[in-house]
Amino acid sequence: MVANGVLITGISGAEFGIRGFLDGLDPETGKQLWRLYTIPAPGEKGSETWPAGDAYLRGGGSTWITGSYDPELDLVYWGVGNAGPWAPAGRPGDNLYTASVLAIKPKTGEIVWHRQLVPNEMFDLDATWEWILADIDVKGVKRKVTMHLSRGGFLYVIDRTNGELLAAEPFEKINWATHVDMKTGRPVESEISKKVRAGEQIELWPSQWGAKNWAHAAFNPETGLLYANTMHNSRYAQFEPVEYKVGQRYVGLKNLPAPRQPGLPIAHVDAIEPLTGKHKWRVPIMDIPHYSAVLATAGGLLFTGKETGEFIALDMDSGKTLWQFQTSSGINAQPITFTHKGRQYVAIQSGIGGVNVARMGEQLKNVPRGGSVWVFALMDQ
Amino acid sequence: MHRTFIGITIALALVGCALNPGASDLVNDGRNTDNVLTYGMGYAQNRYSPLAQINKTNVKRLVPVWSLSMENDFGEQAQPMIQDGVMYVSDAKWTVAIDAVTGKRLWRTAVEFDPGTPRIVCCGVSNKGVALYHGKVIRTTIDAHVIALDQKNGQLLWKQKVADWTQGYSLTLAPLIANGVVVTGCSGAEFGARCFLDGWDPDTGAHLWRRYTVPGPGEKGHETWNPSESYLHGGASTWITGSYDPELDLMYWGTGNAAPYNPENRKGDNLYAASIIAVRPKTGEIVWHYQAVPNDIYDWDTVWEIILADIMVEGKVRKVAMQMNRNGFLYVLDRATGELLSAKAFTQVNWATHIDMKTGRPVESEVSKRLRAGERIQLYPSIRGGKNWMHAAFNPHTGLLYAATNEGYSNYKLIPVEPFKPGFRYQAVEATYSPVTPATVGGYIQAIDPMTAKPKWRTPLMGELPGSAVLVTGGGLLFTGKHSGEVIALDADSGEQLWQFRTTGGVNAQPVTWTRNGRQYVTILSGIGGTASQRRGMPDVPLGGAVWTFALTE
Repeated sequence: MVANGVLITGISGAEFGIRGFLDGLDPETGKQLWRLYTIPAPGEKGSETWPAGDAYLRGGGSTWITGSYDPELDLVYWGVGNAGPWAPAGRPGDNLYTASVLAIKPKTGEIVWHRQLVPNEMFDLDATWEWILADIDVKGVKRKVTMHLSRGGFLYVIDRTNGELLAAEPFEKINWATHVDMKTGRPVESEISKKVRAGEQIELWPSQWGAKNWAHAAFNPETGLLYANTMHNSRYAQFEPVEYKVGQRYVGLKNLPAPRQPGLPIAHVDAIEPLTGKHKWRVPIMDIPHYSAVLATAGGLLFTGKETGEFIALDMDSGKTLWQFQTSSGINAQPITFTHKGRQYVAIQSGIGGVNVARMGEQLKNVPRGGSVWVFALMDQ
Repeated sequence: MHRTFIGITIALALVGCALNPGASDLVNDGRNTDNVLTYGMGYAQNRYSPLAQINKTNVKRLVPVWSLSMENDFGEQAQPMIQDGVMYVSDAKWTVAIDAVTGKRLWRTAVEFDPGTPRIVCCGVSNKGVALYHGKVIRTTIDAHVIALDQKNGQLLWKQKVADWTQGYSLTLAPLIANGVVVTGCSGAEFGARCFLDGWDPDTGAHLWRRYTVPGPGEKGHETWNPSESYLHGGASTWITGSYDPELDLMYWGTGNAAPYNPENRKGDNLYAASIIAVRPKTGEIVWHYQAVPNDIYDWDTVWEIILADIMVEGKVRKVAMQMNRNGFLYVLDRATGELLSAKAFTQVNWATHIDMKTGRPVESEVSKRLRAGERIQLYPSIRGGKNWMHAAFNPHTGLLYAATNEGYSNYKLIPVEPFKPGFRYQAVEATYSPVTPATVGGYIQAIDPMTAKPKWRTPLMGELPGSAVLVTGGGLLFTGKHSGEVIALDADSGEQLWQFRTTGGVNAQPVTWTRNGRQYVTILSGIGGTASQRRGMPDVPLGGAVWTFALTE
């Protein structure tokens, strides 16, 4: 992203034992202005949350989703990914700044505040998803917040000026934590989490796919609601020994399908109240989770796409599908709307890819590959 | 014994009933607009549909209703086939079955071919479509095979080798099913192939007959090759699907250029190169032939679609076969006898002054004489032809042909023939083309009177050569596609463009129209390929194939 004249980029690779960072670059010349490691080096603030030795060098903390920016506060909000490897035995401690949100100054990369969602994270609970900025009423007071539908299933609402936790309610089925302690801001791990730490195999809700994956949510300031493609799925999880090898997967988790109850949705399209995590409506999805971002418009519509290729428009008030169009491949992308010469257009890319193709292999076998750009408008009258 | 025999007969009869489409479905194709079962939308290859739901007044409301990626960068040229709500589409890599209304893929089967095969293909790694018969999807492959897949699931039922691809043979055409026989042709005249037609049993794949289009020793026509052994690499490929008259039980196939283009080692007329042949589907017997270009030196393929119609000629209704030939002349023949009824130029022609109506032979011009004497000439039409393969349409109600024709010329010279090498080009000419700039008229879409070859109207195509076949409908519309990616609809009475839609790639394919549950659809493939894939003029048209289906907004 470009914030206050600085080009900021992140990094992927926490499944391969990287040490994550953010970079600030001069957009005119490409010159590097700063680098902020998301895993502090020995002696730096936060390094005490890592064991002595070189675990921090492979500690993960990738930054693979673009941050948001508040120009008035001149703060960039950037989510940090899972710790590496997933198996936590070799990295006791909170492991800052994995599974955290950082508020940073774009000119310098300085961390102004941080909030870690999952200390000593062990389920690939990336905090990288979009951090949505809005000014909303909290107990009668208008607050500048940042909101996040987390992979672990809690909906975080945080004061974006100072990092104060305002709400963290579940929006999906969760069994790895009982709740988030609002005093400490830390999730309270359940018996299930204790069992898996002790080496047992557990059935984990939500699965490592997340209660929501990267497919970005939308927020409508008029309705005060978040709109998101969420997932309702469990997997079996058990840690296993893992050895670091350059360029190889560095995970240490057996991650196996759990039997699904017939008739149970695997995913939803949801309209969610930020402070309670409650659904205003839910549209159950029985077959293949959506992997597209949601766009909300003042026309009362939500636009999103399906892995089977349909680009769809939903009634924002009910979730009912009002329109759909079959594109040439699967959609796992991000709709936008724009105008040119007074006419409104909606655009999205089609082209199946990303992680869900492998997850849904058999069900998507008749969805062809091949990318294209699609642009829609109302017919001229 | 007797009882057993009856039992088998009944069983076969039951199987015959269940297996669609059958011979009569193909003969009657077009009566049930839900189906498109033949190449050219009817054995007569008129590419005419009476459907009028989409018409001049409402075509502006035509929108895509679905698209499906073909996952193929080689290019899409095929005509889709449709039966009972399922669409069957092919390209060089895949055979695909699609729910015709929703665009959901039902099955897909890969074509296995050696990755070296493309080097023996002159004009694009391509395929022009499938044939449907007796529950089978039958198609040809780039490595010179013909295969049959189960229409239900795409599983291979039989596969037959047509020729050895390493010798320069390939197949891209859609098979013709005529009188219960699968008939396929051959590509490779640029690689010194000796071409043929083959007849196959659709149910078993058994080879029924082969008819060489270049006769061997002892066969009629062999005397037109001199020296005698020149027939072995004589060309005469059969790369566009023939048409069929079920009443006369005659197929009409065009044959390609003689090989090599330089004729120094093949004196004589070189039958049946650059000819139209009328063939019995059961036996492969040539009932009559008409050679458009004896001793061809210009790549004057005579393979383009041969359109069958019954038209008035000097006050009498005649059963004719019409062809807008690559060489710039529009031929009208009596399709029962092969009698030449008309042969007028439809574009600028300088290689011949006219066709002698007594002998049926072109009268070569001074330009051709200079070429034969070794000079470099400026040739009209270019060796791409006055028209290339992009099939024309015929509307029996207007009596007009609708075609996308080429403008431009070639600079052209014969060069010495190198010895034949299997799998290498065998042409012996130098050819360049007139430049195509954005201001160039690359060609015309035109309505043409068959007997005079005069345009009723013509609409210039700016900055590119024609890309696609033409479809004409009862709604007064022409549909075709452009290399630049647009599918367009023109007013069939004036040539005015009424509608266009930009697809994902270049369009060099074949539109069809059809109905399902009472709604009219138009389908065409997009994906630049064929010889267009070699053109450098359109660097911003991306590769990548897709099927596009359009309908009026509800």
